[in-house]
Amino acid sequence: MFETFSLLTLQQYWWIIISLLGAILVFLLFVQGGQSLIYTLGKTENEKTIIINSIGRKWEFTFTTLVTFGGAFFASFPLFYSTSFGGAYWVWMIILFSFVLQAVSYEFRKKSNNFLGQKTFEVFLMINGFTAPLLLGITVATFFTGSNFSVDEMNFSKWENTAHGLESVLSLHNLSLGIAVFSLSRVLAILYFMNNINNENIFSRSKKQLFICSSIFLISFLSFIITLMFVDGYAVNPDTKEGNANKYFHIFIRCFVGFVWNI
Amino acid sequence: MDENLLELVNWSRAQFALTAMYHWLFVPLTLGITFIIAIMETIYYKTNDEKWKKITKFWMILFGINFAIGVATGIILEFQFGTNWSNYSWFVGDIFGAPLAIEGIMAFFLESTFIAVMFFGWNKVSKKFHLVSTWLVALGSNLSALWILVANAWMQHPVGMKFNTETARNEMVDFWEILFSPVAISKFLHTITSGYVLASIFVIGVSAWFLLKNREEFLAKKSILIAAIFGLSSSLFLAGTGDIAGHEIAQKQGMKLAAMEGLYKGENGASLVLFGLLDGDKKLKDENNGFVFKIEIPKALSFLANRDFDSFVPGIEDIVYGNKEHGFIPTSEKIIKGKLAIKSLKEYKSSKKNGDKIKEKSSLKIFEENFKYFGYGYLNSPESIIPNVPLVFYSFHIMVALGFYFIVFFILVLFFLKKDILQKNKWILYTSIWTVPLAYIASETGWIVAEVGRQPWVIQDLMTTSMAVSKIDASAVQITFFLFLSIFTALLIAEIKIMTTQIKNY
Repeated sequence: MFETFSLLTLQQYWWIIISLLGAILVFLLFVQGGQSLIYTLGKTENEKTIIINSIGRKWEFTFTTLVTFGGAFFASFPLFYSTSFGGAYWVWMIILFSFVLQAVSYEFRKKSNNFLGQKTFEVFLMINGFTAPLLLGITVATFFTGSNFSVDEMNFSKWENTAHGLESVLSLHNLSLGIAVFSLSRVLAILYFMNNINNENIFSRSKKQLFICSSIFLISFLSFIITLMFVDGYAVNPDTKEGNANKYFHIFIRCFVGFVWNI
Repeated sequence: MDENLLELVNWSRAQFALTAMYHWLFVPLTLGITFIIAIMETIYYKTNDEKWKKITKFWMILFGINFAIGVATGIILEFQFGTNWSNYSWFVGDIFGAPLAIEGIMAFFLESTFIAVMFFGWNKVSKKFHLVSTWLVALGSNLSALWILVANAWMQHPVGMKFNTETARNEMVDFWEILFSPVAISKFLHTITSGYVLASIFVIGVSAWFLLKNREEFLAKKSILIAAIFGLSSSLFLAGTGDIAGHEIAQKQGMKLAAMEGLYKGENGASLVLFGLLDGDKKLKDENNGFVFKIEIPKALSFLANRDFDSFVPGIEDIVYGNKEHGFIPTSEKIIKGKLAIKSLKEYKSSKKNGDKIKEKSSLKIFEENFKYFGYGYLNSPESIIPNVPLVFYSFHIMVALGFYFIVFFILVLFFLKKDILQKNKWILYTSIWTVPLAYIASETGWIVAEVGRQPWVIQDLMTTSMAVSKIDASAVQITFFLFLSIFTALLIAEIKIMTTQIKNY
């Protein structure tokens, strides 16, 4: 069946799958958002445990979606996969380290004689809760803002920057999407807690945090989008290899006009 | 190879080996114990005896601890293809990536969903549904192993693909050929059954500890019964699949087989080394046979390799320097052909760009004629196709010896259990406990044979390890290597402590 697809159809087909997986992943990042709020929303040992148990049965879904997302990118856009992962080495490694720490923490935290102590495993959850959404957001932002790399005639890529992805953290534009994804994951977690946990203290603290996190999300996301509308895009133009002024703005307008026209 | 690249390749290999070996400490137990748990729960379902529910739940706790760390170490492996082996990822992305993506989906739908039911659903779903969930966890974990092993088998024996000269990469043309490649099937069966054997030994070892402490007699004896039967049948099957895997290696990776057997000069009616001590002074082409001493089974290697007791099995020297009589081309010639393939590919691309149709056609023809040896073009010397012989040889022989020991072990355990004299013979209980680390050693050495044995290839004959590596600083890989080492070691200590405490306090 797939053998008869044109390259364009295949690309579109894979893009739908990747988009779907990406959307599910962002949605499921509420687990990470929740982890970052363990100490903010839970003030007593009991409250902390309620919060962790509430998201504890969901962590595998985020984790396996990330694995599937990685595998699907590997299979469908290998040049992107090899260039981004091989180049932005440090950013991806930090993300992965944080997921390693997360995977054992739910299971090991409360177990007796767990070597590192309950508190350490809670800190592991916090580390993953902060770094994963933030750095995933920053990495996705680099797909728009570009990175400094070259490819040879075998299409083998080489990152030209010795910071290997860490430089992207210093860009305010990238950072704004990172903060947007992080605060969105918190918003999702708070809404989940408010529906899933029957505890007045947690509910009232959640309500307060909801306002703060939603505001941060709105500001950071809008600043990313607005800035994006005024930057040059990098279209693949084999002849000129030049940047395309206000590319994203034009795409946005085209989509918007197309949408209105169809209505 | 320049020194910087060599250092980078070595550290990248070390890191992948470290993470893969840590991952493989946890996966085989998951693969096997899920089936043992499913069998136990089936007995509970059939008998409605609460004691069986208790047994099932006990092993489930240990499975849960092990599963979490298996998942944690697994994610790194998938993404390391991108971070540390990015050229490889590009070269074979749609072949290797597809099974990897399927593995993720399998894990997602089966493992994650039904594990939640398995752990938290005892009083929330029906007994039947719970039992089905437990079986699906076993099936799911084994099915997800299938895909990664198919991907690995493809690297050992690339089939079902075509090199695309436009993009300079391999593309899948026949998914089924990749999935049903004989190497993939034998690798899958051999690997998962090794997991069943390890899990059976684990269950017997823990149960033996209970018997030594005069505790949980019912749980221990019933667990030993199930694990010993499951383990014995698995280990017999394991020996069979090992023989098939050996035959496949002989047919597709002659150098690996030669290294496994320390065979330098090929011979007709070659013997299989049973025990042997390698001679460290052995040099290529000298008269030394490479051994200080060895005990052999006459003609067994020839039979393993070609199903013919008198057939010729090539040695390391035959493959490196060629053997006209038996049709082996010298590696130096393959290197020339490989370099020609690389050069003609470049010429093809440039002539296509310049619109030189004649040159385009002729260079494509030369490329296609020599593509079989493409990877050889990246080698510096014929001798560089030899893997680390002592590491492969000893790993192989330790694995095989332990494999046969396990068969005897299971028979002994079953015999003592049937006669009900396990507790009277404490030595068999102590042996059961000490066999647990041996099972892990056998499992790890198996992977050393598979992966070190195929060096310098990442993809047999097509891509070398040095060609596949991401061009990053060796120092960056060094740092992440030590980070992995410290994190994984800490987590391993935590896991062992938690597990032993759970067993002691049960």
